Amino acid sequence: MNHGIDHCDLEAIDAFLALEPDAARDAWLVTHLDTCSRCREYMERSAAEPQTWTEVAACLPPSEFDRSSSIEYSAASIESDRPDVPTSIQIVLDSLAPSEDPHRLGRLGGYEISGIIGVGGMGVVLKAIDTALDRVVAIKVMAPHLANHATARKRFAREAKAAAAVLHPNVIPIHGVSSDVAMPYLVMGYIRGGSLQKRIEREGTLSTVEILRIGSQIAAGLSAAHEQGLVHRDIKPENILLEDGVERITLTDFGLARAVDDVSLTQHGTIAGTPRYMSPEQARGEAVDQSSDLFSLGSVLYTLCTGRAPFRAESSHGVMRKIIDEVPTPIRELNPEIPNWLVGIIDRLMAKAKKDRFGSAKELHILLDACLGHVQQPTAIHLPPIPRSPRTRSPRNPIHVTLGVILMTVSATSMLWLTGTLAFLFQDPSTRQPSSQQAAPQQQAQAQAQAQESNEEASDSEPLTWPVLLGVEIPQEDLDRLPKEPLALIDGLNKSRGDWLFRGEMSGNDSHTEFAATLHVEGGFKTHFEEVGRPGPGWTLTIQWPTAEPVHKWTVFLLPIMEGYDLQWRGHAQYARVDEESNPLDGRFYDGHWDLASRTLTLPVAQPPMPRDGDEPEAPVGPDQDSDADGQFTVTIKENGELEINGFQPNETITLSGETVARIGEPYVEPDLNQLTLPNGYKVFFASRLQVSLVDSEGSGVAGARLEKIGCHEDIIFGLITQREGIAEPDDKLGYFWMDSATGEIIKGMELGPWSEKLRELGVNEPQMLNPEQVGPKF
Amino acid sequence: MTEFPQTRSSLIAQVRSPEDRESWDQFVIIYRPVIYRMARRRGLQDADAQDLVQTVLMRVARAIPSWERSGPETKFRHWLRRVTRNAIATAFSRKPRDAAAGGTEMLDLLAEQPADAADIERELARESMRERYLRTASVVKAEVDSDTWRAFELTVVNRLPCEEVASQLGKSVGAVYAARGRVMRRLRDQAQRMKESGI
Repeated sequence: MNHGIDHCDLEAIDAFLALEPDAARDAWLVTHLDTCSRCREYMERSAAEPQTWTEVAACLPPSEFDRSSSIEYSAASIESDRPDVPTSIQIVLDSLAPSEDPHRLGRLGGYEISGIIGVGGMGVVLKAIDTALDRVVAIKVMAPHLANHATARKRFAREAKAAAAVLHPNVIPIHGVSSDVAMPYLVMGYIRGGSLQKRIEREGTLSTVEILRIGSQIAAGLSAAHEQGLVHRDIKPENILLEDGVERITLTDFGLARAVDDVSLTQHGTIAGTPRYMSPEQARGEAVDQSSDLFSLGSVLYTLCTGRAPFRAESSHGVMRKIIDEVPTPIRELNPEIPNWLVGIIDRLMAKAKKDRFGSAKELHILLDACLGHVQQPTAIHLPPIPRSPRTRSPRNPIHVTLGVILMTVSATSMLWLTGTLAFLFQDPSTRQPSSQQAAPQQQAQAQAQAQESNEEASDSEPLTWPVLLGVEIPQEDLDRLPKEPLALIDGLNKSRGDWLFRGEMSGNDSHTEFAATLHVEGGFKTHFEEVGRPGPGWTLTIQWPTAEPVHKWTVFLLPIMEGYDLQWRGHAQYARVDEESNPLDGRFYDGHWDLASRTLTLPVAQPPMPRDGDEPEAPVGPDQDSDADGQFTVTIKENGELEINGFQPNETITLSGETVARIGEPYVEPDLNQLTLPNGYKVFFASRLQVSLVDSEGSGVAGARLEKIGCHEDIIFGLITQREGIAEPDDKLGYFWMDSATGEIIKGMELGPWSEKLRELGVNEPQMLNPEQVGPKF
Repeated sequence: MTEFPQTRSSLIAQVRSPEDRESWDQFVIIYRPVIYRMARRRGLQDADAQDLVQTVLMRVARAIPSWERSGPETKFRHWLRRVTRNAIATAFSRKPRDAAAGGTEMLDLLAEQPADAADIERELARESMRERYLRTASVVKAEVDSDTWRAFELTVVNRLPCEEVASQLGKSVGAVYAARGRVMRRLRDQAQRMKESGI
């Protein structure tokens, strides 16, 4: 700066305001501003518009009702709104009763507190000695800021009770819950060791054997909890404990995640804990079920393989967005030592769509266990079949088993009959193309691949066409002459794919029983038969009940047989008890006749033809004319995929029938209401996104359904009743209701068997809510 | 007690689209204290005011699916503002038990004074601007040295003459002018950035 103190330099002022460093200029300006009013004015105008000066002067003075967060505008105060960790320890410690033993920190209930294990989102974890039983326990005391909140307390108690019901070596044992005290607490087993998170931080990646051992145990623990209807919701390395000295892992914080979820956040805080291991459905804020835990477990295994979490970003939002949209870096790019088949398992766990993951934690546990056996004894134990992509069917697929066993054990006669059927399916597709087909082989193959691909993708929304079905192009004039009827059935079956709530009836022996079941439909054009040979078309309908712990299983298998443009249907149906081992041949074979007008496939019992010596397997024949009409059942498939099955006779005395009630797992839309009253005085209200409740006119709870068990299909809200007053544990077996979302009318609903008696014991008057009742106000 | 009864995660669970979640998040950061102050100004006790904040935010959050369905012709931010105004008006004119659990007699008084939407609109605009500046100030304050901040605060916020502040801080008058000029420029730029990032 060469000019004197009295010289005005407006550019220097601009540079000063723009924070351009220049010590000489700064010194000059400060001195110059002592006296120069012109530059003072220029500086003020240049720093900010007059309006901004006015706004700042008006806005920054503290006002009477500022909360502490904004009354003092320091950056530090923004952070200080988070619960102060040392403070929460102090509050908890202060609340302890004094101990007689000077080495102890204090007493809580019948426990002498000997130390602090840690602090988490939920509260403080203390190490304690159970004086009565003289054992070391861990006590999780609910954080003071949570304990003040009634909802959190209730959740804490409820979830703790649910977690206590899970008895499994890989799940932390819950010794007791005390929820009625000022600071609710949970008494758990004490595990000497560290968390899996610590192990990853210390060692980075783990070996394949260790990954399988840990993964298999987590899956086993999850399986036990899932069987109790519990979803963990927060599977992450921090919640997986490794016991010192033994190769055992223990899953903690079971089902407690949700209790924290609603309350633990502060005004400016971030989402509790890390969202890194969330499932896409959690990240989207949707309802979660057991398969969400499988995704999280997949993310944990990914981390064990690569030493880093699969989805990482600066912010929680970034992580969540990646979980929803992105595929993580392939594991083998980060760690080539991980075998391909393990990558396949993890990929499948981390499938974005729930239906593409494994069917259950139990299935995964069995698979990982088998893999572990193979890795430990590669020559003695073969690697089990590993699903290669999310699209392949799960290994527990009943038809795999059924067909596999049939092919191995079936008698020669049936064998020929079946191979006659299957041989066609397993032919090279080009040989079953219509002869009018003129395209070059390469184009054919391409067209077929595309057509089959698009068929898998588009079959739900677009009607099935012959070119798509056969994978060839067909001239329009030929197309017009082709029958449409067979396609409608295939189309309907494809639309049925997925899980349904199924209302079934069983009659016979002078009795009539209704039951709620789950119906699982799967199949398609190329999804089956991998184990037998080549992919081919086929669909299975598996109906199981009761829904929570199935005892009965009814499997219907439908196989189309294409003869030119004509489709014949072959069926196999079987009823069995899940708990009894049964031979697939206990079922019967059927021939199918599809009637488009009634959209009904009629299936009379078929008799396998006698084999002819030395001949090629014979083409399937029609129904045995001698078989009586009693051995016939029907499958009606509506255009939207809803199904009705009538008159199935597993034996001479029983007849099974039923229909789909609603699809399970469709997104549930919360109606915009807090409360409405049924004419009988019952109130229906949506207490939260977590449950639907039905209460009587006195306002006491009668029944409820947890959100995971509630679905919405078009205008029908349906739910499995999982809770009822007087029954502490949520249970799937109570019953179901089906309600018109437009009118609130309960259209259907019923109690499930053995519980009625228990309800009567408990003095619950039933089943008023189960009869159709009109309500006034619209949802 | 700094905890609100219901938390952000349960609020945010109502918002499906990840893009909107960020806007919503920013929105909640600004509007929580804003609604709180408006409630306190109407005589609610701390706990009741917090409950009301939650009621309003839950109501707004619940309305979000309807916006997500109707499509993004309107800016999410603008829409939120409108819905919030209505939700506040409704909450203020509600019967006490609807406005807040464990309501006080002040809530009864409140219920007798139907809130005027236009007044609320103005108050909302004023308070949300104020909250933005408070947040801006907290960022800038952390970036500058304490004397610089004091020079700005005493002259602009406390409206003391520059000469008096200079002698109080033991600085020259020119240094006070220079300091507050720089702080103002930063405040303006920071506020601009916040606005651009949708807060």
